[in-house]
Amino acid sequence: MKVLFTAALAIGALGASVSAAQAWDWNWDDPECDCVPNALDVLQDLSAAQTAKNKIEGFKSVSDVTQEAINVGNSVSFDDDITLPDMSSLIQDATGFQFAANYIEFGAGGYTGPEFAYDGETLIDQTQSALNAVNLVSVPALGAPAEQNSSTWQTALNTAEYGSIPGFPFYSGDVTNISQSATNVANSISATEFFTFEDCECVEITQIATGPQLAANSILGSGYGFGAIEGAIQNATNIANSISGSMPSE
Amino acid sequence: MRRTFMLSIALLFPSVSLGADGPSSPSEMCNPSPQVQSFTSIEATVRAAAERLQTTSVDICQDYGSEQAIVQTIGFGGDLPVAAQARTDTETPVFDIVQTGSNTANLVDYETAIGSVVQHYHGLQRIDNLIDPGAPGRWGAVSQEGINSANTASGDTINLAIQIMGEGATQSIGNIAAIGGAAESIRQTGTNIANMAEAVHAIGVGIQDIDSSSQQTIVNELALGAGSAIDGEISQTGTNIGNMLLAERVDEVIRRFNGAQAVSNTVILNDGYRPHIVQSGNNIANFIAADSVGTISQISSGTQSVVNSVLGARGEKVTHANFDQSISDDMGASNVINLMIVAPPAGASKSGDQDMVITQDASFNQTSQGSGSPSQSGNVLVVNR
Repeated sequence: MKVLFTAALAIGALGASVSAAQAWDWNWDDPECDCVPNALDVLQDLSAAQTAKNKIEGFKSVSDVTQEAINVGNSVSFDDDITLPDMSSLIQDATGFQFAANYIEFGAGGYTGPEFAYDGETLIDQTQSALNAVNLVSVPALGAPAEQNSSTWQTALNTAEYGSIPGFPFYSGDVTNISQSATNVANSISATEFFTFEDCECVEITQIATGPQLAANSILGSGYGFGAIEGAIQNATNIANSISGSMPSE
Repeated sequence: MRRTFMLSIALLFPSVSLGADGPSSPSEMCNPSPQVQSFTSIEATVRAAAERLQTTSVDICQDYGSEQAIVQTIGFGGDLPVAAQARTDTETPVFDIVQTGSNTANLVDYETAIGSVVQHYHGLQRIDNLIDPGAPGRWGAVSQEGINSANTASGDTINLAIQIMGEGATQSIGNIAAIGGAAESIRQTGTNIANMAEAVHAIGVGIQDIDSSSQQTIVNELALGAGSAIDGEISQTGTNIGNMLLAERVDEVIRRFNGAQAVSNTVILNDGYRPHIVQSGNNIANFIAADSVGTISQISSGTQSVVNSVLGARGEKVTHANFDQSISDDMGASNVINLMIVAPPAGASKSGDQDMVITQDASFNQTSQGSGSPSQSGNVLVVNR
């Protein structure tokens, strides 16, 4: 049996010490149910402070911006090229925090974006998008057991605000066509098939999430004579403990 | 700005302490909850269900005990704008303002057989949408939407589903808007879903519990500046769903709804303008829809309330005498508890030969305010055979 083991300890730009003493502490016996020959065991342990920030400041006008801040930790993704079954066991543990933030400061000229463009119903080219994801599994088939534990603090922030000169907070430009998307995902398993055997009770999935998620979008004016808002789309999503599967195509 | 960020984090996670104790062990969290066992003895039931479990299906355990928060803000206005200053330039392109937020905890969406699914939600889900432009404008659709879902499972068949919302678990949605000017329509929508199991074919045993410390709340609030004009409709909708089972066949159900569901819809009008307003609040607890049902035991002792109101500038209630109600206002409120619908399967001429044993015990408070036709139902069984 092959064993793939990933342990990562990352300290990001904020310099905070987050569970730095996180010991790699696990007892791994052979799986009770070793029903997947030549399968892959995946063990991932992440103790990380991930920070992604984008910032634009300009007192006059800001236009046509695309900002993306993305943090991803503990991800397993196989494509269909690998012959089934792919995995026999999977453990992902994540602690620490993820911080994804986008910031635009505009001035009297306001903010002007291009017209919203859609792919189907999905808005493309968001002005600001912030994404944190931890413990992701996307495989054609899962021959479990699988266990995901996350206590990661996830914060996704998008902010566009009028930055006034102190003492002159009276004039603010218009905001036209701005879009913000903030997303946090913790513990997600997506498989076309959960691989099971007639004589084997080995498919068990456990997900435990204890970390808070904050997704926030803000478009803020000065409070005095804020310019007009002409077109704004905000979308925020938090997902914790998600399992999705579909029938294998036959 | 950094200060704002950190302050936000501190404010938004008041209930979470770093390094909070997690569940002691997966197996502990995934055992049938002692809470459920406390209101009725289900050990034998669970054991029997476990014996029926197919070994060829997946067993799932999910536990969520933290906080999901969504905060979306547009504008930072001072006073509610008076639309006399509004742009009347009809050449100005019309843009939409849209806020959508969704929190999901403990989701299973699986198209084939599920052996057992145990879902334990004891966290906080919160969505706050605020639109407060501070200046009059001319908009297309203004829309705020929030969806919280916790403990939802769907599969082809589910042998055993245990869904617990307990220990202070909360779902809350606030859609707040203060708008002056012209808009084509204004829509505020909130949906809370807790403990929902759905199977294409059969659910063996469904155990659902909503604890007395649990809450589902939705607040939709709109203040319309004087002189505003809304071409279409102002609509406010709040829907709370707790303990829902949907399947062709359900063999055995044990459940308790002891939580609180509340919907509040408010529109504040600052002049004599009377736009078309539609307000609706729906609270649904212990709902089952199936073609055939075996045994059901359920207790409902929570509270449900819906308040729809239209207020004037000084906070006075604007009564319907001031409206052309049949044309400009349509308000509905419904509280539904212990609703069971048993229907023959589509396309089948004969069904449901099994005996049904149904025990419904309801002891709860329902309140509804607003003009229109509120409806409240307790212990409703509809059998179509």
